[in-house]
Amino acid sequence: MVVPMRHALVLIVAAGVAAILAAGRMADAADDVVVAGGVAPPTTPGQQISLDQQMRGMLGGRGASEERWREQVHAKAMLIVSAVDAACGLNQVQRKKLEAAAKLDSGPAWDEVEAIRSRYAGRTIDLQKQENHAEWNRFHQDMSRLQGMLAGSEADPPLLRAMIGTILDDDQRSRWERQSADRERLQWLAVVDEGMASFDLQFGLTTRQHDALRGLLVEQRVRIDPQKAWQQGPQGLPMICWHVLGRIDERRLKEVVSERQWPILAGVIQQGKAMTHLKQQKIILD
Amino acid sequence: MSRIRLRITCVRAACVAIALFAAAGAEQIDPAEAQRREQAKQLAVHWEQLLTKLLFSHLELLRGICGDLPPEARRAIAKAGEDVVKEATLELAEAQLGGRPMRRAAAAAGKPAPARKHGPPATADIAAARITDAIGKAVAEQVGKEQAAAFAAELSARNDRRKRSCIDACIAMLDAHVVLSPAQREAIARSLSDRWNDDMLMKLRVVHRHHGRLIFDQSVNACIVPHLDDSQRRVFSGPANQRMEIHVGGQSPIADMLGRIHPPLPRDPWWFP
Repeated sequence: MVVPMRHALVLIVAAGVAAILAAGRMADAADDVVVAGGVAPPTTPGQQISLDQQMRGMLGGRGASEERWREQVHAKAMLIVSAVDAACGLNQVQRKKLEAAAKLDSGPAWDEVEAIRSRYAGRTIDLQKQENHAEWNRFHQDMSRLQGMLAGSEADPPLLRAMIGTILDDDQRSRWERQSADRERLQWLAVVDEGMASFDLQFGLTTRQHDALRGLLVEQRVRIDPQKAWQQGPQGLPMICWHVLGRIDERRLKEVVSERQWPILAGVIQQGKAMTHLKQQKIILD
Repeated sequence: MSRIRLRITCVRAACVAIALFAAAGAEQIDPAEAQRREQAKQLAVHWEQLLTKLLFSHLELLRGICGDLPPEARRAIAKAGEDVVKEATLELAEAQLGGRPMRRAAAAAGKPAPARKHGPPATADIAAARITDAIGKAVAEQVGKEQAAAFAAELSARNDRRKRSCIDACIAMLDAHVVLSPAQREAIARSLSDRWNDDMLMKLRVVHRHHGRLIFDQSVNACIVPHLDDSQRRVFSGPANQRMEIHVGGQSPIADMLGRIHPPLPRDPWWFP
């Protein structure tokens, strides 16, 4: 190997050459194995996923029992019974009827848990195979539904709700309806104010603009499922506002913001309109 | 064939070695430091994007308050903001890679540097405060103290709204979970308000769910749990032997919010001709 070298960099170049020489030989050797031997490189083994194990991890892990799930759904329903009692002063018969409804309401939730659990019990899939991807996606959807149920999506259970509507007298019903309306209002204001906090920063709103935009959103109230809306924490709430902005007359919105802010707000409205999942997943009920 | 490849490889290696030597020699820094600086530059790009969102938002707010301003005043105010953004982004990037600059930044702002386990830090909040201060100061110098006070008052009102909305969101979330009575809502809101500090902003936003239970930071829990009855407490935090808490620290609420903003306000030629 003869390389012309005349300057002070001789040593550096020589060191570099020596290092790469060794590396080059090693690379050659590696190449030789592939070519000479004709042996295919070892393939990655199939990625076997135990859905059963994943399900246990997601829904409860060790020690999580079906009984505990049922108790949880029942306990949440009982909180509603207690709230009705506190607001309306139930008599003994009314209270017993509501308690019975609360107990029965945990049944369907339990059945669904069981159905999904049995679907994946002992099931293992190979994610290297394309045909298993659909099952993997469905598995995640099912787990998300179950987690929602556990988080209390059944907190306003259908039977209990129907029973409340039936057994209360007029005075009690009006008291409970008033409290429920307050509750819905509280939820909507929380959504609006989370959204407005984000808009304040995004658009540099003055207090006057803030109040005007907030007023429009408050006025445009939609019914939401609080359990689902809160699933992602407060961070997910501004999206609901984006979506609802799309239902407000554009002329009224344009009156609130400056012409510099408007194109950005229009972009946000477009994003909100594209969020069809909010209705599909019944986060927004109207 | 393999000899030719070897020679080509050798020549390439020599070139790389020479280039590295020349680069290191020219700046008198070792390669590790050069790599660290490169990382800092990349991180600075991220912070610059975030803090520029804040700067443009503040400038828009200011324009909304002040209306027309002389061009020289606009340029001076915008420049003051932009200078702080540039300075702060580098400090934040350095802080993310090490610890000392973060403490320096905090000391410069006259605030104690909070202990951080990892990640970019509450210096993002300090940087945001510096941008706000720089703009306020420039407004006072260029336009007048009255306008500066109006700007400060707007931001103060915004902070008050933010505090209230955080508390209200927490109450709404709890209400959906454990069906609070009106008296309980009031009591929890009062408790959160009484113990309020800037860290609560993030602590109220970080909520974990575990087996259907809500898990807040321990300081938030302390404002909630005493106001729940036994049955609510069981649903909220589980049986006594299974209660869980998290500790939220080191995350910056302003960085969290700015990171979620999309699209941001564009660069306004009124401020930056």
